[in-house]
Amino acid sequence: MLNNYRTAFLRKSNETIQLFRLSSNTLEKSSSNGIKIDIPKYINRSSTDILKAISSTIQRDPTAAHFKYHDDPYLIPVSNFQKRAYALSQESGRKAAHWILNQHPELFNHKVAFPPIEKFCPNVVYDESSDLDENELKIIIEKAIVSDAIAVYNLLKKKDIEISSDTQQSLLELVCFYNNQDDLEEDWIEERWYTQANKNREEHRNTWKSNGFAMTLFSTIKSPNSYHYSIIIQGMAKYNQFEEAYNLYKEAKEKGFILSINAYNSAIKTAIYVKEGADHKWLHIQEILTQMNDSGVPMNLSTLNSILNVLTTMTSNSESKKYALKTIAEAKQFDIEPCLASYYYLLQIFCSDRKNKSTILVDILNLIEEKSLSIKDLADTNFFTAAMENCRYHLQNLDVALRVHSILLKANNYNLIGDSYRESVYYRHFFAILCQNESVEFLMKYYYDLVPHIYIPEPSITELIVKTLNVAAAVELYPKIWSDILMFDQADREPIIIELINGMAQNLFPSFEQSVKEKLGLLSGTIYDAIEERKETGKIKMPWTGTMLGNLINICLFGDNINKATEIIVKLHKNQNEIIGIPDSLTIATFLDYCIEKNYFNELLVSKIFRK
Amino acid sequence: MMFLDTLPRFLPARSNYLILSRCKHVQAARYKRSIKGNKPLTYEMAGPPHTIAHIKGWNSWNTCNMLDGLRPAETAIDDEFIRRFMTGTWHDLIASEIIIKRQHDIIRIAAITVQKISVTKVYFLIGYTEELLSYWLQCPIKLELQTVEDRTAVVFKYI
Repeated sequence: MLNNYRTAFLRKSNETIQLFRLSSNTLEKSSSNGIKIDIPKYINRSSTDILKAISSTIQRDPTAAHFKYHDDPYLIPVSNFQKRAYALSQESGRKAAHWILNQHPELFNHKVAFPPIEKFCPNVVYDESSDLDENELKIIIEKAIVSDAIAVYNLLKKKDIEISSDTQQSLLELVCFYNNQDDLEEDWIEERWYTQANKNREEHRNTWKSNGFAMTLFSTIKSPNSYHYSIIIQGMAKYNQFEEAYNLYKEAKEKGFILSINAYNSAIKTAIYVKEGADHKWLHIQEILTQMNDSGVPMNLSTLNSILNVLTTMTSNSESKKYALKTIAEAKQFDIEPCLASYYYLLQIFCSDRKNKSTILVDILNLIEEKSLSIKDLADTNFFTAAMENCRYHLQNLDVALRVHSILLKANNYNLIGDSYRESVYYRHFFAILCQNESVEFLMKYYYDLVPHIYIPEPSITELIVKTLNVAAAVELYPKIWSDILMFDQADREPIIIELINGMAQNLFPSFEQSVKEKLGLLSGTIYDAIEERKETGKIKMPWTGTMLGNLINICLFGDNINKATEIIVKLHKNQNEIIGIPDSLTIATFLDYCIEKNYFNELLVSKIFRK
Repeated sequence: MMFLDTLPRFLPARSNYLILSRCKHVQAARYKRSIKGNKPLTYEMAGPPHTIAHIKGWNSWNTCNMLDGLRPAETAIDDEFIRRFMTGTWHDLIASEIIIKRQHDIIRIAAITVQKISVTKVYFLIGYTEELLSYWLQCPIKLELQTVEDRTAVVFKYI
């Protein structure tokens, strides 16, 4: 009975609570009646947007190596050489597997994945026996496999299968874009990252295959129209066959064709080689621009970049700056916003003169600081390296350098750094500027953040860093920098060692704590040992000098490392003919005083021999 | 052992003898004591199967054998293939069991290797294994290796 009552009571109380809740809700609603609720429009998200959002909450961990390396102490690279070797080794392993796949395609015909993933299947080989038609060719062109496309085209020709002019044109586009050869596949990321630098060094070298398939295909077209001309001119200009490109351009002009905008841009670029002297080049540009105007083709971003690119080759002419500004102003009328490549060219044009400093970089930074940058031109990747170089040599200004760096780290801008070579050049300049700055803490802040996982200093930069430590008397950092020097395999670089030893010897102040003193004493011992070891194996060819050994003795004595000091004294005595010069007499006097003071008689006797 | 200790409480004393006699003959995944007591066991080897999920984990992590799980048989075969491929490719280098973890379409293969060959060779093998296995199993494969200086580092006890 009682239980029944209880449930009824509970039910009742629940009802009252619910009622109370309802009434309170209605109260709130009535109070917010005046405000109109704006439901935002539905935003279409891609399937990876959530992942991107999550990843944006994570920052780089400065203590971790790049994720392409295995996270294990034994497998983490510590020098530039290792970084390159490990990354490329892994890729070479992948290539070996790829080779096996293509060598034995019959073993990999099973279908496990659904839908099938083409990347995991062996490449298709086209030969006489394969059943081909134009559609097949179209698909291959779509996939941008140049060698296959050429092979299939030839097979189709042999079988006398008619190919439509559209397909022919897209094939021509493909071979012109890739210069008749297969490009390095996108899968081989590391190879691309490490070889792109070599490609850039080939800049302005004619690499166009003059008797390649593209030319044959072009000549088989009976009556080439303006498209065909445009394509072939672009291809030639891309691979620096400027003369031929210009000739074809003139030929097309005579036939009265209106070319595509990019063909005109390529024709502008030909001025670099076809014309000599600033005036001729500018006339050439103007001529093409008027022709564009006559044909009613409006300029675009790459027109602007092509013109600026030509202007960079005539910077000795004082007019070039004026022309550049004119071009930019002209582009503005067409609502064309300069991209990083344009700024890169501008930097080259305005800062080629070391006497007249130009602060154009600051203006550029003002413009791009707020924008989100994306790649619009191949030369975009040159900008950050050039900007940092400009900060180092031209402006010699740390603040501007820091601004450049902060822009680089913003959003996805780091993608614009280019490749491994450009990245290391960028940081080389960055650290050089940081070293010119007086504060060591500031330098070390960046040092701890970037070294060794992002950047490993080149010997010249290590030397600069050591110099900075010396100037600032940052004694506590010597052990750290020495262990880094050992790790980067730079202990055999003579200038660094000399700089380090001299700097340490100059910064011995009696006011240091005993623990610091002892550390320095031990450190000088290890430095001595490391150099001796490298001298034995022939890595260091430089002979000891009296002053260097004297400095080491001084540091050893300073840190109460009497054993090492005596060892060096003995060395001085025994190898007199190999050591250049003699240590300061003050060093010897200090040593003797020290021995007498601390009652080291054996050591005293050793040095006595020396004095005879 | 805990299982055996608690058994008599639930079972009438009469059947006690029978169960224990069966338990005595179980020998799968249990290692025999050597005469000199110097047979090295890793942590994974030291625990008999009933300790899985108590003191040690599974060697294969997947959901194939759950209700409505996909391809249970194929997965078992694939796992065996992966294990044999790994021990063969990393010849005399693997110092632990090979753990295979499946998540969505990714297979992660974890193992402990010995630092016997140069680092560049390790990286070559990593690239080769990942790529070739992904051609074979047609899904992304990731290797998660850890290295130890020598095999004694993974020895848990000697029996």
